[in-house]
Amino acid sequence: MTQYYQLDSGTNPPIFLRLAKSEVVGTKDAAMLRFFSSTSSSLTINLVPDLIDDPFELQKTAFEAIPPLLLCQYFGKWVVSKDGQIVDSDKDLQKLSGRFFGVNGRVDVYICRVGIEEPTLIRTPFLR
Amino acid sequence: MPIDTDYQFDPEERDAPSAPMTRVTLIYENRKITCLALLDSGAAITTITEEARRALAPMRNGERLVGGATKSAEFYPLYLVEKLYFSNHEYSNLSLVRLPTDSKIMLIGRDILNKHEILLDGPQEHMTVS
Repeated sequence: MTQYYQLDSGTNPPIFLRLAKSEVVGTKDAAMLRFFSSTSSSLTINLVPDLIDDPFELQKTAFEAIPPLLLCQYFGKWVVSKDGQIVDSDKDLQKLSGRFFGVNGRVDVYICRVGIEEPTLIRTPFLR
Repeated sequence: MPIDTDYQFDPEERDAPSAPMTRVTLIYENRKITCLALLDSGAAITTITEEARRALAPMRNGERLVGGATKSAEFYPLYLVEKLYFSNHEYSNLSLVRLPTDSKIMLIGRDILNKHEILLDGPQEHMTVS
C-alpha cells in the first residue's frame, strides 16, 4: 500500500513522494525515508509530519504551488494540472474532461478554471 | 433509445406538478447505477447525486464554482463519470458536479440538453428526446 508524503525540504513548489508504507520509518507524526547504500551507511530524509494520503488534495496542493505568472496564458480556461504541471486546457470543461481522460485514463489530476471564475448557475434550489 | 415517455412526479415532492424526468445510467470502472434525472433547463451543468457518488465511488478530479437559486456561489467538487447514457447518446468521461443535497434526483443541465431535440408537451405531460 502506498501513501503520499511531502518532502520537508522547504522547496517551492513542494516535492511529493509516493512511497510504500514499508519504505517509511518512524511514526505518522515523524516519518522518515531512509536510503541504505551497499556499504551499509544510510541517509535519512525527513518528511513533513502531516501525511497527504488523498491524491486529490495532493494534486490540488501541487496546482496551488504553480507560480501565477505561469498560469497567465490559461486565463479564463479550464486546466488539467498533474503533479503541478498544466498538461491540458480548454474553454469547455466537458470537452477537456472527455479528451484528457479519453487519452490518459483514470489518472490523478486537479481540474479547475484559471482566473476569475463566474459562478455556474443552477437555478433549481438544491438545498434540501 | 430515444426517450418517449410521460412526465413523472417527484417522489420527494409529491404535491408538486409532474416534471420531465427520465432514467439515466452512469458507469465508473465496473460499477453502474441508474438514477432518476430531471431535465433542467435552469441548470447550466449536469450534477451527480450523493447516492450515485457512493455507488460508483468515482475519482474526484476538480472543483467548480456554482451558484444556486437560494445560495451564494461556492466551490463544489467535480467527479469523473466514465459513461453516461441519456436518450440515444453515450457520453464519455464527463466531470459532474456534486451539490450539497441529499436529493436522489440528478439534474441534466444544458451542457447535455443542448445536444438533443426535446419536446415538452405540458398539457399531455409527455416528453420526447432524440
